[in-house]
Amino acid sequence: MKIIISNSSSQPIYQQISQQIKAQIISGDLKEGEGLPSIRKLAQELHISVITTKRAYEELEKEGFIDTVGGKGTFVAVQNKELLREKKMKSIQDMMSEMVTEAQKLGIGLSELQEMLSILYGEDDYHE
Amino acid sequence: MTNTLEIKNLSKSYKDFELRNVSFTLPAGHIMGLIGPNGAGKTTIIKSIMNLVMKQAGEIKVFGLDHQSDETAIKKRIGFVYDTPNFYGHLNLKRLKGVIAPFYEQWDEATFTDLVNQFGLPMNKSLKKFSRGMTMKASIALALSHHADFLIMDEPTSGLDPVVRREMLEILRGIMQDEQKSVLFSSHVTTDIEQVADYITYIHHGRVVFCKTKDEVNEGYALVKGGNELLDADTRRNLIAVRSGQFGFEALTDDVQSARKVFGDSVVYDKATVEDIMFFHNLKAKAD
Amino acid sequence: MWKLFIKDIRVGREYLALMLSLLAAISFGFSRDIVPDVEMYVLVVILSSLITSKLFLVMEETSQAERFFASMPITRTQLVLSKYLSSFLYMMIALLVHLVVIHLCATTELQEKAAFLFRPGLWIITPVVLLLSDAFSYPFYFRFGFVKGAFFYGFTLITLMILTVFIIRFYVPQDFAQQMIQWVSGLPPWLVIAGFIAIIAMMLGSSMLISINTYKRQDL
Repeated sequence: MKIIISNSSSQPIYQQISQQIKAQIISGDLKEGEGLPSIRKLAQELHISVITTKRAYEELEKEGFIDTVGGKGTFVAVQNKELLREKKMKSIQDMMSEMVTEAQKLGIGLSELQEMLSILYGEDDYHE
Repeated sequence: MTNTLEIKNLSKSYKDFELRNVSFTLPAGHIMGLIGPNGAGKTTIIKSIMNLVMKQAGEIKVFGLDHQSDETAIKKRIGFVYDTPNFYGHLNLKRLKGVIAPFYEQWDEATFTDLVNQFGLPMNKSLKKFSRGMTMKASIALALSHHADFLIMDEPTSGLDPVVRREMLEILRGIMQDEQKSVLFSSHVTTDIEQVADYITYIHHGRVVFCKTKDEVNEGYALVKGGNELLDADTRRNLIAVRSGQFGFEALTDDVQSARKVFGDSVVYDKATVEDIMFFHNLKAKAD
Repeated sequence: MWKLFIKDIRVGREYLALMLSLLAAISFGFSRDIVPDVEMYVLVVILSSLITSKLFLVMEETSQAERFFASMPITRTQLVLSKYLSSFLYMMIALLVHLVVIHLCATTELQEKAAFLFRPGLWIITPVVLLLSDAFSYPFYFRFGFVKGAFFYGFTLITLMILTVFIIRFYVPQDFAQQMIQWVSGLPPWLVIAGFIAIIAMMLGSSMLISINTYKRQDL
């Protein structure tokens, strides 16, 4: 697991952590059932407060990404395949939103965008 | 979750200084930093907890027990690290341990030996030859060797060079891996507190200015910087204190959300360090 | 409290050893008739024992250790009482050293010349008298610290002594002392001893009570 925190970012630290862990779960870098460090261990390693790491884990647990088993530790939750796909879809949707915003700023129309997409898809097929 | 320390309305007055209505709580398993300028009352608070100084009003509970009527029971579980720990300089660490250990039923020789090795402390060198860093580490080793659940430290990093200070903070982080242990330490070195504390209690002129989690401090406070023309009675209301210069102003707000509503994009928002917070509160106190 | 006395020995054992060697040397010197003046010797024994009993008090004060011990699981009452105990024991050790050395090394001439030195009564009465005369200095030490306390105590003592002399000179009849002694020797011995012990207990007890109450309210 890799977590890099920026102190100068305007994003609260607990969010940086939960986001990075979320991303690694979604991308599959963190596998189902894999153990996560305790909140205290994480706090010690990252040089932050245990209250911050606890907050990050609480958020992840609320969103169903991790499970805490009393006495045993914290693990990546068994991801409902459907749910995981949905989360990945949401992730892609967010990226597309950003893409559309940027495109609109530059004055690129929908058809032009679709063309660019096709080329990208085509290229992928080519590489496979 | 139980509270390791509960202070309610602690008051104590001296000739030229007064502690008034100091109240704060430290939940078990956490570390709290007491910050404030020199003479703010941090040491007096700590001494009051340890009953070294007689409080005049208020209630102090440690482990849920009254700090005076259950003084001995509490002190068995407290490890105390002093500001000037270099007493009995003619002794070496081995003899000092021999002097102190018999007073603690739960003295753990193995733990002490481990810590001494970990810190690299010489057992046979006379204490007056110890550097300040070594003295601090020795005090911590002694304080941690009787299964203390609460470590109280008065200015543990003062007088230490930055490298040793980092070592000290690393030691504290190690201690906090045990969720049964709590730490209270006072310091006027704000960066140390920022590095390691869960809770920050800011003392100024004998009063508690705030007691917040580190996150609350980081996310609530901000520096606001902008042109002087933006300042008026209305906008100033959101700011704790303002430092106006030739080329613009710098101010502290404890409510970033409101500040953003008032100033919008016309100003720059910067992260406020604990030192900034102290500086601006001091500015405010002077103006009042 | 014993723990605290042992702590005093552990901490100051070199200084104690040094002091005791000095005392032994003094007594040895006298036993060999180097210092001929018996009164001088008795005075030196008394003073040196008193000084020894204060040794650890001075050490604690200069090292600021009392704050440290107050932060350990020890009550203030224990700290106070242990100081009395330690002083008394230190004083006894000092007297013992003098006693042993003088008995072992005295020449026969000395034994004749200063016979009273070798009477056990003297060595029993002396510590008790010392203890009592010194007992009321402790509240001063607890209130003001050792150095200031000794100063205030000395001052108070001298003032009291002057007053006493004054009162005796002008208000007490000449033969009062003789009458007192006659009266006391008329009493049954057990009563005298019991009265004596009662007085000692009262003086010590009140001194300790004052010290405890003073120290309990002291900011360290």
